[in-house]
Amino acid sequence: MIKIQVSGAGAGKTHCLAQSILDRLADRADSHKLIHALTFTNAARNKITDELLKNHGKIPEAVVVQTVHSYLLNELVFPFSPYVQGVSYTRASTTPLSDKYKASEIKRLRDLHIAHVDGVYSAARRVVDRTLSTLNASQKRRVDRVLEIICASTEMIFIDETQDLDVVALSVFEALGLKALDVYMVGDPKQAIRYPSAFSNFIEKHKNAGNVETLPFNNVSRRVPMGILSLSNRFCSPDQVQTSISSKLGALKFIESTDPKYDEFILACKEQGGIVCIEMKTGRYATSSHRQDMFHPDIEELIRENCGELDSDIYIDSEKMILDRQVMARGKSKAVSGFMKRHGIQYSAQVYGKIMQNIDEHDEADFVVSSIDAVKGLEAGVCVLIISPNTYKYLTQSNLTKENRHNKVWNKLYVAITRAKSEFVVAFDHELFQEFEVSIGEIRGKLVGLGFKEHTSQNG
Amino acid sequence: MYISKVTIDDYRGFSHFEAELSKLTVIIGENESGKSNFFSALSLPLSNNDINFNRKRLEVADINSLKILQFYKSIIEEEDEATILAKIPVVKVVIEMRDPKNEYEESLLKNWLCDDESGSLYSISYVFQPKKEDDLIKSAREILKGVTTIDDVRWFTFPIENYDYQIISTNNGKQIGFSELKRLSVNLIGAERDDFAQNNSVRSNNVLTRMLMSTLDDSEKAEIDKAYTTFFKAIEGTNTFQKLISPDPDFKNFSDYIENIDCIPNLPNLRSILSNITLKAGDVFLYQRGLGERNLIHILILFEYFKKEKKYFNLCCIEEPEAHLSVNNLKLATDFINKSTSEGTGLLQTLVSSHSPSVINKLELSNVLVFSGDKAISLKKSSSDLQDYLRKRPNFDILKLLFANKLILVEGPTEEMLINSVLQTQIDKLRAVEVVSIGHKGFRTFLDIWLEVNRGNAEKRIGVVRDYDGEDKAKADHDSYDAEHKNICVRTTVNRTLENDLAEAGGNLSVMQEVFGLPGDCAAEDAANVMISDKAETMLALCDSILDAKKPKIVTLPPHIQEVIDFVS
Repeated sequence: MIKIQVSGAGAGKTHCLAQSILDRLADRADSHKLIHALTFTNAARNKITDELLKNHGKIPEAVVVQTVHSYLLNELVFPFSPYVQGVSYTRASTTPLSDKYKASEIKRLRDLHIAHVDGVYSAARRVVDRTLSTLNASQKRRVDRVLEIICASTEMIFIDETQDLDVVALSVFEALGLKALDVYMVGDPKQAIRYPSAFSNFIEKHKNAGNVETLPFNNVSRRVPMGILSLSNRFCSPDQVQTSISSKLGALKFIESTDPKYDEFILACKEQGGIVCIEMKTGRYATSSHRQDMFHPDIEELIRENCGELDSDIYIDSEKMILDRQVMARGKSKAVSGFMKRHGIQYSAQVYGKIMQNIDEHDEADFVVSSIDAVKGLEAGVCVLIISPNTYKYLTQSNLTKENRHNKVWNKLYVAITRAKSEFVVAFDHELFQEFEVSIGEIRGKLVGLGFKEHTSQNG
Repeated sequence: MYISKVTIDDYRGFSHFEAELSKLTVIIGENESGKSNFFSALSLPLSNNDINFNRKRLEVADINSLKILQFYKSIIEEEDEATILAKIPVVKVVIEMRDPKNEYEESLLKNWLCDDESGSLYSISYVFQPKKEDDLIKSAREILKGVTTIDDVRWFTFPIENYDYQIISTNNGKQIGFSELKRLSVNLIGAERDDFAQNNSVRSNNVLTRMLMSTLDDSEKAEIDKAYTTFFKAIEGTNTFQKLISPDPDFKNFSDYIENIDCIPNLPNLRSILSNITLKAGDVFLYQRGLGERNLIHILILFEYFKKEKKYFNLCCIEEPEAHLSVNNLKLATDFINKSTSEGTGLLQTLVSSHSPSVINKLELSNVLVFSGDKAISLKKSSSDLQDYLRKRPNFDILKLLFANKLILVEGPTEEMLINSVLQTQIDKLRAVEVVSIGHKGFRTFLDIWLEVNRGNAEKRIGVVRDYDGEDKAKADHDSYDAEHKNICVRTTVNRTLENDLAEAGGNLSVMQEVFGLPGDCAAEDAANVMISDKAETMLALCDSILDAKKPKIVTLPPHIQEVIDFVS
């Protein structure tokens, strides 16, 4: 049985989820069965753990909170791939792959018994989804057996931020849920950035199915005040328009780069724990990228031999750390050539590329701000969005075709706006609009028309 | 669930060994057949409640020495790299598990599901292998520098420091963590239980403490805590204690401090409290009781504990439960083992090694696994005839049947008496030959099971002495064993029964006339009929005359018996 709960931004999803988990825990009959709570990011995982700690005092033994990837890897792919597919994985890799060679690279890693993060959904699907046309009759029987075993050991699966799953991942949980397992999906299609339509389509597909229940939408926001919802509701379909129970009124403001305090305002906002975000890096705004914790598997193999008496896995981790520090101190190229020399690695463009792709970017930029992807799930009193011509178009919804509604950028705007608990500020950097067809004055007018008020210094 | 199969490679005496197990398995075998090593091999991939995980790291002596020498030889003879690599000794113990009985057991096993059509085969492996094969080969070359022949090499120089162990899920080679391995544990009650005595109470308490810790519920624990506090109140209440801490009236302000002094236990946790109790049997501590008694109680307590274990799987191995036990206690112990295994939670599996026929017969032949050479032969498929037979004759010595080097099977006690008496006069041959009377006519069941264990083994010989009784078909059936197997000799009387053949052999007729007081012209057939009319009594008289200290009679064995004796000796 699958239950779908659609909740808008700021509805208190995590709190409700934690409560449902504890309720289920109290009702459960088979004491050995585990309740799995799955999130999309480690940050979201911590949020659920914190919520459970708050409500229960400890994380119950029978509740496992982990990311979707870690669940699929550890509970499905590692244990059951050998049985269903005759393929065994011993390790996982998160190294970035270029789109062009992705498929062949994932396959090559599979031969080395490494599961690549980008192939995890499909690998998981191949062990639980009997509707896959690639399975033969014997494999289908084995899939049934795997589902039986999973049911035997699982009480229920809760999924947070379901809108971040792609079609393949959804089909994994669909396969589990349509078999006797209870799956509870919480999510907000309006915040679907990676796969804007996957979750909506999933809901639509199962609208009238007997074993899928779509709960009434939760359109009440505790976080986002009415004054800001008035803007974000422009991005909601009629059945998902939100109302607020926040005690704040909420304000929409804008600040222009011609304001002498512009730079100061942005930096201060970051410093004071506010959110400053942008759709993608541009001009003098860079987005902070996450440190890559791993080498490309090929590079790992090249240096593994050098560990001597040391534990090879720990050695590799420490080498990555050393390299990252060298990059900071000496710059990319010097650090990498030093690294290759130290390990006696012969130069080739390919090897060099593989090392480089896992090194942090440190671009020259005035501001390091967050991408909208990165602020999903966060909240702050003040949220600043640095608009670009593209985001401006979506913000004002001028000249948008039907296909462009409810797409990636559209959803990103909804996310950015709904992060704010009291003030949503648009940072209007004229430099980014130099070649734009709309004049500065007109843009300013449109903003005012949407209810934005000019930011004054004393507020900053 | 239970462990259905164990495969061992390169460990101690095993170069490659496979054994199939049941829920209850009785392991029999001659000395040195690897029973104890089998138990220790099983403890490698399983968790053994032992804090010292280092036991899983093997020593040189744990690696099959033949394999080490083969590897050394390969290096000395400078074989190619691939051949050398293939000859590196790798200790491997693979355990297969089957038949989870419910969802809980399925959950215990789920991560180890194997690529097998049944969908119900799970496996984990212990592997002890070089960290880096190149380093091992390098070290070995160093050790063998200048050595030209394998005869100059000792296996114990093997560079074991290059090795490391891993316990992995067989399906994907992923390492299994301690918390996961905890689900499968093994407990060994060794044969050398004598150290139990030196160790006074420690070992039994371990079991007892664990049992109590795992079974006490919260309110009972609270009860114990309360009682323990009361115990300290009693100490505080004694005069001496009061005197010790009473304020000296000369120092008035002293009392300000002293009144706050209390006596509290310095062993605050329950485990410590519980580990301080010991068992008492009658009026004395258990460890003061006789060895046999202690053994019995030890076995009973352990089984009681495992029987109730609901959380994790337990493989319980008992070496020779018969050790030190009297007939009655052994009966009790075997009965208990048998019932506990069949009534337990399904998470208990039992392995018993034994040299005692009564243990084996009681725990049923179908559970018996015979260790012989590098094979483990299951008697599960042995005919139900034999099982019925053993049910009727619980004292039949199945071990003699399977393991005696020189064995003669006869129909009844008369043949047994005769052969033993004649052999006793030939002192040099006596000791080697075992004569076993099976008490009926069909030998084939026995030959079949004997063949299971000894087929093709030139060291072992079996002979069968049978009566013709006018049955040609039975004779032909038995003779076919003689024809097909080099180590089997089957002979049948020429006449209907032994007595006829005996009377006709050598000068036996006159001996019989004399012993039975028959007339001098009495025919062989008549003398035989006298014996047939009272087989046991007359044979006893005849044998007595053979063994007569003053004037021993010479009796010639009939040819069919002599041939069998000659064959096995």
